[in-house]
Amino acid sequence: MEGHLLNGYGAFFMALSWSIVIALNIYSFYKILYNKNKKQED
Amino acid sequence: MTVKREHWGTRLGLILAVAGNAIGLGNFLRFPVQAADNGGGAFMIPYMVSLILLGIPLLWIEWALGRFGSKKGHGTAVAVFDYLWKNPIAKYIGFLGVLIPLTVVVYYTYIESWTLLYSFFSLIGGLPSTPLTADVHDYLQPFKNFLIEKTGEGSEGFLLNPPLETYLFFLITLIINLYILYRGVSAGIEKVAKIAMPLIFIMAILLMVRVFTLTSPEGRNFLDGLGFLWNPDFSALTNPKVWLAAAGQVFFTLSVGFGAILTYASYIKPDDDIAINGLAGASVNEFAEIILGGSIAIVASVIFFGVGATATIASHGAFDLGFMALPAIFANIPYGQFFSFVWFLLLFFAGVTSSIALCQPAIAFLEDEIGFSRQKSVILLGIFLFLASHIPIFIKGALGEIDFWVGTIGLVVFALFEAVIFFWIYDSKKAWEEMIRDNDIKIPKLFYYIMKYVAPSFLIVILISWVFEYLPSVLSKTDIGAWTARGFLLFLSVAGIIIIKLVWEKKNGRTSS
Repeated sequence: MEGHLLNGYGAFFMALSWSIVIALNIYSFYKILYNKNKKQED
Repeated sequence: MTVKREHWGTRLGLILAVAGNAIGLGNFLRFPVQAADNGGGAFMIPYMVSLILLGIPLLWIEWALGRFGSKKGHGTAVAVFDYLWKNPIAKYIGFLGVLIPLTVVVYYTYIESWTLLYSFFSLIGGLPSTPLTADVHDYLQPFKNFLIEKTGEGSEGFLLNPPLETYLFFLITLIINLYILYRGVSAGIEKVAKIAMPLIFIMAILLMVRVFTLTSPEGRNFLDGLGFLWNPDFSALTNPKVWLAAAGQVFFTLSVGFGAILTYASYIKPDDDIAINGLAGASVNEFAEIILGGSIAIVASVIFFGVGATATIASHGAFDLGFMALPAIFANIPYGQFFSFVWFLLLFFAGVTSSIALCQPAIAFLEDEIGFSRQKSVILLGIFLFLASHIPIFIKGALGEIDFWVGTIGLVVFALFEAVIFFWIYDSKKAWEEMIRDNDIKIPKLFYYIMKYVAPSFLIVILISWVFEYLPSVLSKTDIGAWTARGFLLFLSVAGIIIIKLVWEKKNGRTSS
């Protein structure tokens, strides 16, 4: 098992998981800021 | 009798405090071990499915129960369940939401103090140093001996014999926790979260960069580490144990089923959002777990020890990885003393933000239901924690036993009660209306069915599987540590029931059932 380099599938799962997490963070904090600005305008 | 309830100062502070509650030692130690053991990248399929079908729904349920409590002026499941279910037993079931976090914190604070002790010893160069040898076992032995010495596990008989410094670091950790709680929700917990959370992220990124630039004499680098963690083994997907492991990891990492989220959510205003706040807290936690947690300990271990040895280390549990393998690696890299200090300080901060959250339901119970001031509540909690912590500190086997009943089975049972009482006993339509009102985003209607049917079923399956898997070996234990832990839990349960009965009798001016 030595020399277990990251392969294409592994890179895909890692990239996908990281993307989902980063997207979730961007979405939730964008919504918070959007609603904060909206409430201030109202 | 009632004390004016506090509120969070800012929304960011609330989200960081909730994320701080969820981000603990498990993000950096448990997750990579679970993922590597259960199919690598393929593990993320059941993990993400569990996040959607179990984690996020339970998180929102706990947030909704907390906001419901905020409306009524109560911060624990004791009173919230009593409002939702007009049955005298409801408040006693709700007491699990105080008992579970309170009992977990009895041993969690002690483990947290080890990270502070290790951090201090790293700084002063007091951790073992060992020459590089071919055999991993020999290489790790001094670090194993150090852990055994500091926890006093090498003693004979049923009593542990930790040295004075271990006890002193426990006292320091306890005092730090109590001081934060003494300062209150906004000036204590929120302020600490605003400082500790960015520091956790900075320290984790620093360690991640260091690990990604490590190479071994054999030519291994971070791609080997990432390969070990992420290369998928698709055959694992047909194994039910892998799905249960993923569900368990999601459950633990989001810290649902403790009652702490309910209490934290009770300090929002009654018409504040819960949907995006809950999602943001979970997102920050997942960042710490999947991106940072998955890129430090196990990657470093694979680079340094190789895949086979890392698999052996990981099979002995997350503690071997965090408290032996990592300091052993840092002992032989440039500026390793500094990186070891940062690693354990990171774990300490992650621990503190979790332990203060676990203490808060007890504080809320004393303030909201008994009418004690915060100061008096914190003093009482401090006395209790100081006395009770002597059980896991000095009695062999007690920590593991308490962790099984409360930190494993108890969480699932309480989460199941939360879902069932809210969506089945209270009224599913009213529960859903309570869930979706005043939110900044719309929770999709699909989650109504997930919360009512899927999440409770998922919990029942997890509970049954864990009972069959672990209960026989736990029940076969007849040592003094196991029985002391069981007696302690029984005592707390009985004491809690008596206190609630007396409090409700006094409140209602009549005999409670």
